[in-house]
Amino acid sequence: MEITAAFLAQELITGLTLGAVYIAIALGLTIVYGILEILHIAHAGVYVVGAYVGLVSYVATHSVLLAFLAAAAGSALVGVVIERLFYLPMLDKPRHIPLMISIALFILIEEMVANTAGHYPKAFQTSLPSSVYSCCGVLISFQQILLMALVYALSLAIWLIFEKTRLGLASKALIQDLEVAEAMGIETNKIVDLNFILGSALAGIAGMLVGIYYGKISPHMGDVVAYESLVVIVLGGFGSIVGAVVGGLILGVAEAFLAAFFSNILPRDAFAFIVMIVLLIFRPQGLFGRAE
Amino acid sequence: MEREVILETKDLAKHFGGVRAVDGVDIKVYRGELLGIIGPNGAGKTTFFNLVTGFLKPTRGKIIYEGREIQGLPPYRIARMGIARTFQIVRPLKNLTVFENVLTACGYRDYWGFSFVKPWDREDYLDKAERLLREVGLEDYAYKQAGTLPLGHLRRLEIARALAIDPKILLLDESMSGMSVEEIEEIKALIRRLRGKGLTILLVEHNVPVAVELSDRMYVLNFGRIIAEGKPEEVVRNKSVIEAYLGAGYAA
Repeated sequence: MEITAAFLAQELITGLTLGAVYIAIALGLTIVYGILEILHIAHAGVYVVGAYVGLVSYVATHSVLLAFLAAAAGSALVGVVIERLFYLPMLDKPRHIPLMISIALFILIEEMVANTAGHYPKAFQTSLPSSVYSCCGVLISFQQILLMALVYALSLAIWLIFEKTRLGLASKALIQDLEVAEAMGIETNKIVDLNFILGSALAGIAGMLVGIYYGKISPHMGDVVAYESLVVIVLGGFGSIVGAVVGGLILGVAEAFLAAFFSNILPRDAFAFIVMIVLLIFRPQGLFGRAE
Repeated sequence: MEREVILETKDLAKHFGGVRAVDGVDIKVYRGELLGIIGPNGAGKTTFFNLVTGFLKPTRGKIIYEGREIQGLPPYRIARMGIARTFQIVRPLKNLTVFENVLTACGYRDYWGFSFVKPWDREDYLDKAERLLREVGLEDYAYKQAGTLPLGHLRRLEIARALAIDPKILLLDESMSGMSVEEIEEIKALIRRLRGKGLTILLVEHNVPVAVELSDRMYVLNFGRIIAEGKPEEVVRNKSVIEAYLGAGYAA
């Protein structure tokens, strides 16, 4: 194997694409953890719902834009229903209870999708161009560009909301102390709703983007993503938005390079979990978090 | 002159399993007064506060505020009606600046609908947050991270945050505990100033001399029940109050 600049650039693009998917899921996960201190495993189920709502809507309307909007809306709805029915009523319970519920919900959502839409992968073909662009020996597909552009733009938007708007300030207050925010007269349930809407819509859009990128979706497409996004928030520090973005980038790029160089020694996904275990032992606050 | 009752509890009780933390408390708070509630550790003072502010749901009884029953309402609604609180163990939003801590509270009504993306108006929010920081003497620390401030400053930050929602009653939960003599003097001066402006203040204190010095009237709570009520100097000479603090046999 000859290592050239073009080869490295190609792997970098693969890594940035992978990273975009991780970021899109991890953002919602880290926000939910930050506010409610619940590990929202079912978030990966919300991602699967987004992919299927996107496909059904695309088949019905033949409009990619409408399908994206439907995927976002459908996922946001599922996310808020989970929050209202299962998380908010559990806030005074020990945290392993909503965690177990979330794991059960994740499996339930996937199985329900499988029962309704079939266990086998479904093709996700759209009218979008399937062109592959080449530059100095590096290949990049239209689908990759779309995925990265949308996810990175939406992540930037979420960061701006957190840093620049009233909702962001209120959300940061909730992340630090839900009760204090409530004592300030802030209707915290509604702020939590808005955060679930943002995080879930992003996951749903990501589900559909991944479907378009691979040309197919399946009921179990959320499995690996569910675990990998946990690694991302361990890397970035629980509850940190910037951490989720940087963590997603690091994980995606590292996985791409490790797969390119060491795939004969370790499967690609193994790397993530080794990193997670090492970090949890030696630096549980993540790479960017501060120790309490 | 007939004084106006702003807040009243009737047979208010909260039981945790077999523990009767608050057990049938009737109190009246008159508008504009500084009412002290004292009692030994575990008397139910903080539980009482959590009931009035909606953080706990009462087992039985009523809380009547300005003629309306408020028991069972969510805390944010009670806060918006004009009942603000501080916490016994200070709870600053550590990663935000001192200014942002107060600003967040100033904007409490405006995080929903389309107003959430609007910038903060100068007169409605920014000026108000600055004024509140000057009021409690923290204007020089406005852009410091709240988590880096010493305890005495954090207590004043909690008061500024509570004032941000324009309360009619301010509930202070042991605002003196763990502070130095100078810090206590500063807080006392601040509380007197607020009372002078006509704010009704409910002061829960473990520190009896401070409560006696500040209060217009006092209740003594023990084992979840009111055991004495009246003028501070009289209340602390009450036999059952001395027994509650020191045990039976000390009352001369």
